[in-house]
Amino acid sequence: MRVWTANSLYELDLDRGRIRRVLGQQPPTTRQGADGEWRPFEGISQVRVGDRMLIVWSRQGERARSTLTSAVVEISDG
Amino acid sequence: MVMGKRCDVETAGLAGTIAAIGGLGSEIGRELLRSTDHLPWQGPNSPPVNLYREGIRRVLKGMFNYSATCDVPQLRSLEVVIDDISGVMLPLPWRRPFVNIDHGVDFSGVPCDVVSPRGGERNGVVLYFHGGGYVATTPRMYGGLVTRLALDTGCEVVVPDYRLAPEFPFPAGLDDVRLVYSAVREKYQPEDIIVAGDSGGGGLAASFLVSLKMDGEAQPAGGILLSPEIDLTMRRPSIAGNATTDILPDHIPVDPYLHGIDPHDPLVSPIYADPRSFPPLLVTAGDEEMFADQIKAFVKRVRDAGGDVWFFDAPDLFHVFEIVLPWTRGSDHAFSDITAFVDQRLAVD
Repeated sequence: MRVWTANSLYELDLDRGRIRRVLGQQPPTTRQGADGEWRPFEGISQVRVGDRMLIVWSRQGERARSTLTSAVVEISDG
Repeated sequence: MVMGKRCDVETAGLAGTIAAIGGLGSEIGRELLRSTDHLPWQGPNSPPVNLYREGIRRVLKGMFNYSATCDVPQLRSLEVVIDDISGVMLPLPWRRPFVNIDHGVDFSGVPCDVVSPRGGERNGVVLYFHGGGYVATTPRMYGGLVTRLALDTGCEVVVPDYRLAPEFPFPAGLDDVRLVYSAVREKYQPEDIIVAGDSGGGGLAASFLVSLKMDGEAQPAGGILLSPEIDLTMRRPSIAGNATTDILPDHIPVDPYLHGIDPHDPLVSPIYADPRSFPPLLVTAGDEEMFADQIKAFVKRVRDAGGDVWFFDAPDLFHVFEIVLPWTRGSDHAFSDITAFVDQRLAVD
């Protein structure tokens, strides 16, 4: 699944529980990881146009390590 | 701008300033020599950490006790001295290369310090209200904390130099931070803003969130309240019960800020506000602090109303431990929570 947010394009592999940023308006931050590099996640919020994606990387006790993207503007297969 | 350098604020003059520095030193000395029921290296941690914690506690207790009792012009002169020292010492040298710091940036007429991580990590901002019980301290004294906040979260941090009591009682400070917020909103959407503060600044942050709700304005993405002064009635048991374990003055002055306002007013004591007034919150408290009971009651009240609150009740620590004991395990835990909270509330791209 390809997910366009306001500022980036992500590829999402729900079957294998991983995501990667393909490109973005700004260089990737340490929180996003290098462009093109798959990163496994533990959970992800429902992906739909208009909402931000919350990607949960791991849980440490009570708190989750996560990343929030800008709002999703388009979703496509492939 | 430190209060003592505002043209409409009276200071003590050279002789008064020297007397105030002497008085402060003697009060700190008295506090250091005061006997307690345990030796300073005894406590829950290793002896060096206990000694460090106890030394900091006593120095600050002496400082705050003196500040709460000296006259206002002397307090303002002392602030100028401490502000100048802070400007040289903070942020710590090993963090300076990684941030840009601008002092006195105009936000709708209110001067602010702005700290930005070089190569900023995200399009978001933390609006940070410094503590000081609504009567003291300056943004520069928070240079260490806000630099760490900027680096840990990847956000620009804006620190308003809001007006303080007694010269400017309620609602002057709240009016100032509302003006700063309106200027910040020209660049950022509410969902890209976190409002934060400690002690009186934490109370002011909560009051600010209540005022937004009252005016029907959009809430920011979240609030971070570190040891917030959230109930100015000062009637809860831990106010007296933790007076010997905390750094706050034995008698916490609230009248200069209230200036006749009912302390149950939700804009000065947000614990009495509609508990649905708040966005998701991260709240911390030290279980040895005088505000412990009011903070726990606030957290319970907001949670009972369905609010989303992360709460860290730090064992064996006192008021604003994140700032005055930044190298303790409790502070590491708090900063880790802050980073996780911001990551969950502000978009990274």
